[in-house]
Amino acid sequence: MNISIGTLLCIVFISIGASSVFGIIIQQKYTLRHIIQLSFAIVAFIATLYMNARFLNGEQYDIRLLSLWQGVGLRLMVDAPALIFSQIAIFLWICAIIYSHFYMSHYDKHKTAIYDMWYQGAMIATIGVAFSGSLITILIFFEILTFCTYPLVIYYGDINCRRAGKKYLVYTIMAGQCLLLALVIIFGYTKNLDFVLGGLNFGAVNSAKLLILFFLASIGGLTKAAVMPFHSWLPSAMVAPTPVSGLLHAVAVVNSGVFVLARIIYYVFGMNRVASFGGDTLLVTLGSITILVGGLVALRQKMLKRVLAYSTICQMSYMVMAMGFATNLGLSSSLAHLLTHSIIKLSLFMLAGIIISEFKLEEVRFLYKLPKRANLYLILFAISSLSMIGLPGTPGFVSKVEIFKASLDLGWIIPVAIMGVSSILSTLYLLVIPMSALKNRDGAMLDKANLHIDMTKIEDKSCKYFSRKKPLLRREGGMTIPVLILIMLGIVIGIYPNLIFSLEELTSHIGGGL
Amino acid sequence: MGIINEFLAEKGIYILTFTLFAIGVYGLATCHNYIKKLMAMNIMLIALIFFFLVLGQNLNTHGSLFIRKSAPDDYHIEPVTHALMLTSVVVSLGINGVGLALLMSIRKKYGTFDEEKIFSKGI
Amino acid sequence: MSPFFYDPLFLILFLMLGGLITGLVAYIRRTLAGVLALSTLACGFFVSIYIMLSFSSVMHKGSIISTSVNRVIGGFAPALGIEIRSDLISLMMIALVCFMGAIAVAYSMCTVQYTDPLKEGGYYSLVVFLALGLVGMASSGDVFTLYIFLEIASISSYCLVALGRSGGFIWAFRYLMTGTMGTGFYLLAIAFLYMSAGSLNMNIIASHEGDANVHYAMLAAMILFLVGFGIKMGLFPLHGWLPDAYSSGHWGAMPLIAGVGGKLPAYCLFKFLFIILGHRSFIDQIRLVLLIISLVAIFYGSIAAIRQKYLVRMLAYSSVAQMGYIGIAISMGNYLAFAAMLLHIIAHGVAKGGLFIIADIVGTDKVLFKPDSESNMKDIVSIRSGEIDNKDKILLGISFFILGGSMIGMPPMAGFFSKLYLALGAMDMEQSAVLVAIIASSLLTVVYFYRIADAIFISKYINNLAIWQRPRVISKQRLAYLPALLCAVMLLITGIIGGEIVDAMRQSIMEVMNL
Repeated sequence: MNISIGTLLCIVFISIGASSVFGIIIQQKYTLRHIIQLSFAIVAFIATLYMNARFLNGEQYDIRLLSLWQGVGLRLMVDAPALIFSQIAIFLWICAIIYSHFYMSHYDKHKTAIYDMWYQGAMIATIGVAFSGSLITILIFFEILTFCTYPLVIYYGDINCRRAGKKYLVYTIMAGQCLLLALVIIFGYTKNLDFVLGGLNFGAVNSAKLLILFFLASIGGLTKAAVMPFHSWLPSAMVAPTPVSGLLHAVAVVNSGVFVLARIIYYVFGMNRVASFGGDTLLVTLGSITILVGGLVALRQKMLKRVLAYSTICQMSYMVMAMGFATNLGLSSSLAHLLTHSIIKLSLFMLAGIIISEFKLEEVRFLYKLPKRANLYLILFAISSLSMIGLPGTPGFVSKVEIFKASLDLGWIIPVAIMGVSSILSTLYLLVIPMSALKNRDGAMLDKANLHIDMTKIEDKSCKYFSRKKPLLRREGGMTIPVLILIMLGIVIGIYPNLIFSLEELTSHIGGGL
Repeated sequence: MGIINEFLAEKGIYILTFTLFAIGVYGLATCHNYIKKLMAMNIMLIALIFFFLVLGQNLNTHGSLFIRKSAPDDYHIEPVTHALMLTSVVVSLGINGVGLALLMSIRKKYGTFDEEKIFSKGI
Repeated sequence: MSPFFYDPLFLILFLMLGGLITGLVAYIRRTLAGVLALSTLACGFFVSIYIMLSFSSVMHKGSIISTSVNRVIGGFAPALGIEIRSDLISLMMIALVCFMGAIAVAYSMCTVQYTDPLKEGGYYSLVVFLALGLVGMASSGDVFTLYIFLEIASISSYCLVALGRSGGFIWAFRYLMTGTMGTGFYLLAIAFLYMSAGSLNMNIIASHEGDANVHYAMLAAMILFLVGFGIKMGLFPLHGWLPDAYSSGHWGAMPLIAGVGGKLPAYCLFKFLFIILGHRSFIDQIRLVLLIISLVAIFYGSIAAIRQKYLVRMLAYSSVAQMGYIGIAISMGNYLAFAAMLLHIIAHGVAKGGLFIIADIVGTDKVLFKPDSESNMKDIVSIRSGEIDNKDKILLGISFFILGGSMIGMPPMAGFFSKLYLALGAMDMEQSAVLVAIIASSLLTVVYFYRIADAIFISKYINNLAIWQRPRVISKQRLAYLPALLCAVMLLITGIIGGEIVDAMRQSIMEVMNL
């Protein structure tokens, strides 16, 4: 079939939009709604795969939709980073739909309809960010993403969630306003807001002003990507339900931040210019500090999801640091890491969610109380942690090697050393969890036959969000399916990465215009 | 002396009109009694009407004040301003009607017209 | 241009007739009066949209037809006669006024009605007359007609404020006093214009040259315009009547008074500053003064709004701040700023109208800020769906989200685009203080809108909204949420096609800027 790439883009947007419309219309029938959403998501994913094939054949696409003023307008464009981001986002969204179907199954049907509506909205915004072709478009979708994820953060409604939501809103709105201010100033200098590989034409503006402008513009991306010192919304946002924390805060929102940063560095300012006024040093410094400090703070965390949050902060800064190298390989290695990290992190979050919701244990030190049937989850957690650390043969290794290469290309050893230290720290805070839980089993309290968990015997008082009336083994099994899908995909990438993407092709596509 | 006479003959009436306007605005802003406020508002509107009429008196053709026809025998009073002020009188009738109706309701509800007494009793 | 409704006078006469007939019909049957008022305003809306579309399509076809229609009444020469004029910008204002009027009447038909036919019929015809006054202000071509319609609109709004729920006669009286003072200043300014230009027609005044005396007279007139229209629109130091009047007005009139009623005087200020007196040398200083006042207005309004305890007073101070935005847009003076002003008039008019409707649904006398410290999940999750209808909550939530989002500046609503254009216009004119002010005030706006959202939706208010306690008039009470939803839809539409609107009006705006 000969469908043009533009039509495919339309199909993607329409199918995601249709899934949210159906989400609003069908409020009562929970499973039916999710099946419809899943099918639309699969359609969208196939469309993106097809788009990828046609793009690799050399077909380009960009379209100017609405004209806002004097020729500048909403612009969508399809290029290599956009395709990577959108494919991984939609694929993980498919897994998340399956997961959240089982996770939220014990909730009030009406509330879950609202939850689904906001989830779809956030996905539309993410895909919009992926395919944006101009600074104004990406700002619009950026802000829509903020306002679609806020109701999900405060989903449970109690005072902690509201505080976390307030903090999230403050950080992300300030990020959006900084980006708006930077957009206005950039327009004042360049009179053009489209993304052009190699940067826009700034004329003769002096370097100090450009550095300040660059910092202002990147505050937006840095905040959403949870780089220190703008990171503290992410651990607080872990009060949200786990599918939300997983997809949105570890995969979609922070990835959008990194993506915006990539666009700003490579497509608005241009990598050579960024190197000329010192923006690269700025990003590498911020990234390195975050990696180290994030890793150290993660050691002290007691709650499982917060450990994962700090791990996300740490890994995001790998990408920020890689982009800070301001080379072709920097961008492509950062995008590769985005892909692999998202897969691994989502599987970790899903496992954490299973542990929290099925076994009602939120704190790391109580994990030894898990019954024997939870062995499977602990082993899967261990596999994913190994990928995160970067063992050869796992997906994490593939992308980290590329970042090493990018750093050594420039002759900088320090980032390599920092990443090595961070891997050691990851072992200490991530791998230790399943290892110690498997070792110190105290299975006397909870065994296979006794599926009811007695609340009074467990001392972990922090978990109060669930009131499960009857055990649902099917629910647990259902939640495991996406985890297995992701881990298998991870293993495939780890062993034979060129099946999914080829880094050389990516670099050449990106580097074409430079 | 002649200069002051000339000045007053030409511009004196304007000064008096503006004084009346100022009295109206001052009363409108500072009176505590609502009836007095309404009366001051009327004084202000009347001062405006008067200003327009005097303006018409001084324009000796319907043209700009600053373009004077040199022939004084063509002197007549400007009709446009008078027509405008007829309209303005009707408008002030409407405003007075609404104001008095509101005052009736205020009197019925609070028993007094004095703003300070009403606020101290609590709205 | 043969159809009769292209005549600029048509809409004015139509609304006038509608208002009169509505008032009389109320004695026969009250609902019929409401339907009549609603249909009058809705017809006005559709007619003006139709004329707008045909004007712009005529333009796009390339034929040289002027975009404005002037009509002089009574056969007098333009220097002497009343002139009614319609061009694209004024048609847009007319459409906005009629839309908000229809929304207002629709909302009040869904809620408790007065049993007294005089009050109810009076309300309906007063709303139509208010719309008439605003429409006339937009389409008047000479200065005195503007005064007449200004007075029609003002007197109608004094009466509508007096018809409010808690009997705000005092606030209506104070509003009357202050408003008349503003009109007095405006009349004085007319006198100065007349004595210096010899005619009341706006075009003739604009093209009049003169010597130094004329210059000073026009300067005096401009200052008096600033004060007079400042009182009417609620610009910073002259806004004292605004919070009280907005808090105690008739619930079905607040979308018009609060949403649009301040915008038309702002538009007239814009017309005076740029069309009529635009080429005089003192305009730069007046614009500087306006800029300073507006900057203070924005910060004052936002900070005062944050400190309020009551919902409608918060919205009223928010209006003060938004008037500051319009003031800044007027004082910038380039094309982008004018586009920003027009979009902001639409965006804020519709959003504020919808927010006042939501405020009435929630209950305007509620104190918002004693937060429930113990509100926990149990209250929200354990609501059985039989008690409080979830669809109500969804409708209210969506409307508030879109309307509040437009006020904050969230894409894709129209409010975002107006702020964006204003920022770009300020960047063009190298005014960095304005940029900082816009961004800072957006953040302040987020603070108090977050509070409103928190109070209504997250605490327990959503469980006992005032509209659920009032006696139901229409069996489907959900119809009361429809006006707010319509406002939200209009905001989304205007946001998305905002650029097209501005492009279509490019010629009219360029005429204004004499380029």
